[in-house]
Amino acid sequence: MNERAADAPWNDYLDGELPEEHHDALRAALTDEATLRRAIDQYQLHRLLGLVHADDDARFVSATMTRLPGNGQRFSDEVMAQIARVSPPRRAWLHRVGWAAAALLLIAIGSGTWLASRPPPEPVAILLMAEHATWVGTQPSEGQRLRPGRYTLTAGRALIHCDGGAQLALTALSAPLTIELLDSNSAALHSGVLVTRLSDGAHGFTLRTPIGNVVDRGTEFLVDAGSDATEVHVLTGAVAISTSITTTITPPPLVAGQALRFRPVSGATQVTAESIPLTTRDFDSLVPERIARAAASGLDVYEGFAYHPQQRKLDGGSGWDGPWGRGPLTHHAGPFALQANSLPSVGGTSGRALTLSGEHERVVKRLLATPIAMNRDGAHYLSFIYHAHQLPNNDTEDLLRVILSAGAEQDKRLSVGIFHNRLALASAGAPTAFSRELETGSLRVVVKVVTSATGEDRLFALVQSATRPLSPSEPTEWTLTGRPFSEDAALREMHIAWASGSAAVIDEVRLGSSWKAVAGGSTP
Amino acid sequence: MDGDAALQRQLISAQAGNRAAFEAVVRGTEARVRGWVVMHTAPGTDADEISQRTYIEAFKHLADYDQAASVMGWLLAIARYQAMTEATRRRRQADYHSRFAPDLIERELRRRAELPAEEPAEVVVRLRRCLDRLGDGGRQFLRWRYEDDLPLVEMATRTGRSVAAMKKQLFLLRQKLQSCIGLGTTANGEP
Repeated sequence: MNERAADAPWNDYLDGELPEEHHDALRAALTDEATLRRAIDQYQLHRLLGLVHADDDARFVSATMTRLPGNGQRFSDEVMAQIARVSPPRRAWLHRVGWAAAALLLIAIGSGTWLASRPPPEPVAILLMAEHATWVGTQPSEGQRLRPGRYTLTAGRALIHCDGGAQLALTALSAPLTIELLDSNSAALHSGVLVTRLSDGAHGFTLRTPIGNVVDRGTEFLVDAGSDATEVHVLTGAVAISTSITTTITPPPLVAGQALRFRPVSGATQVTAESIPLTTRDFDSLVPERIARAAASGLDVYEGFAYHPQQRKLDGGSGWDGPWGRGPLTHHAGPFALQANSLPSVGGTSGRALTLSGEHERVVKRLLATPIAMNRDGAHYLSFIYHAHQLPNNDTEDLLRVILSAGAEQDKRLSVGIFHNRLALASAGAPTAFSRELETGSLRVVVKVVTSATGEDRLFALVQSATRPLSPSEPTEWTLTGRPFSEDAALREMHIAWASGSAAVIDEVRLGSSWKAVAGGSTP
Repeated sequence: MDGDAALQRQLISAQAGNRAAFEAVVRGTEARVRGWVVMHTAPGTDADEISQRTYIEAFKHLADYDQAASVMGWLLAIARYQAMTEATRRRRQADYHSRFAPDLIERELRRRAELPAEEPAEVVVRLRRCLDRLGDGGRQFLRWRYEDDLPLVEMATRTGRSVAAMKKQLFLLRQKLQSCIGLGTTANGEP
């Protein structure tokens, strides 16, 4: 048999294009050894191409480390406790302390030196709200971006929104809480009580606890990490618990209404697990009403453009449905380049920003996971940072325009833009207001969209230098107030368009239902 | 410093309780482990799940690592076991025989997994170099297919050509890459 005869149907199979009625014939062809080997050669290349294009090495490493068993800090605490039990001699103490301790000391020094020369990790969450909160060490402020690391709350309550979509309600009302942010979709609870709730579109959040990992399956759950026991209560949805410690029962996936208490016995190598009544506490009862309201109507969409300069698929951030791509407004065919920019931050927090340049397809777009319903009462806030590097030769186009659009119907959209060095608001494509001349340099723009089910809709905009922090509370006066208009569409796309011959960067795109959620502070 | 020697030092450090050292081992080996796993597991297998389980098992059994042994050899042995375990699990699933030619494909993949193959990293490195040598159009095509996961009909629409032309283009690109990286078996079935 000609081993190449199966090439076409086999490649159709690899691309998901082989009709089912052709399966039997292809299977028959693969019973020939030479044909099968050729097909598997092609299959292996196909799989490697998928791996190479995934370009997600950092994510894989982070996810793997999160799944490792045991509590890293407890492990090292136990090792250090072993060292502390050794009495130091009066002289030549290195000869008396065990090799393990000396090795750990050297490793710690080496790691410290190495870590001191590394740039700080990129932020992975936002402190949305804090009430009467006192923290150990640096006191983060509301709206501040949080980097990976430990945060100990000794008093009050707080709400953290992780970039992966999980919201963590923290409380130190009965005991201090120590949480360690690991990455955008995982954290470790070392002690205290917190409730996790996932926003729409988020999934797979992992919370490491002293007894193992709690992985959400679309849920709201409470974890109480006490000094003598750890409890897991599932309030809605389900969680999976994975632990390397021997337990008296194998922790099953827990569903809503179920709760388990784990108590260590025999040191840290074994725990007992028992079913307990479900807590009466939940997300809304654990936090004050204003925090609960903020959690329910907080940050919906975020994009910090923290991409590798060579990364091709820009699908980070949260609250989106798919990656950045070209927009349909110009209907211009042809390839375009969308690259994360490695220029210093213009006031954002990741050290990267999106470059807007190029002559073709001067529109980029991304779909929102949750459209903005213009036919309902509500308030929506959009903010971003913008910096122009190169002005166009002509002044007939908008230097920049950020558009919220219903999609195919091009007249159903709202936008904010910079035109002739002034801020401009527009609805249904028609301008409704122009500001005074803008400051030079990097700018932070905040737009408020007030939607009405029965009355008119309104647009407001604020613009100021990106180097100045925004007011912690919503201003009473806005830079620009648009004329009332009426729109009932669902805005499901964000477009960013720029002028021919210009170059700029845009960063820290936020969309939410509160001032606090979008007016984020800078990261220390 | 030899790459594997550096990994050995990190692994020994991890045996002493240094978690950061284990992360360095993961970072330094994941491309090779994942490369091996994607090449030797059947369609529909979650290769990242198997790769992660490999590291989890390695972490749990750090004490079993022979400090004189090759780190990659040790990790790939664990990966091979994890892949076999997953294949056994899949065979026990009720819908196993409804999938396409599972026995044929898995049999050949299992045979290749047992052969002494070259370092997976070398294949991945060669593939990246070969991709760089493609023209912009070819690379864009593959990005559409493997990054954006576009259906062929969408690719046809964007280029103004037919679906049949897209199939041919993809096939020719894969042939070119396969020849470039030298991936393939001899008449005797050897790599």
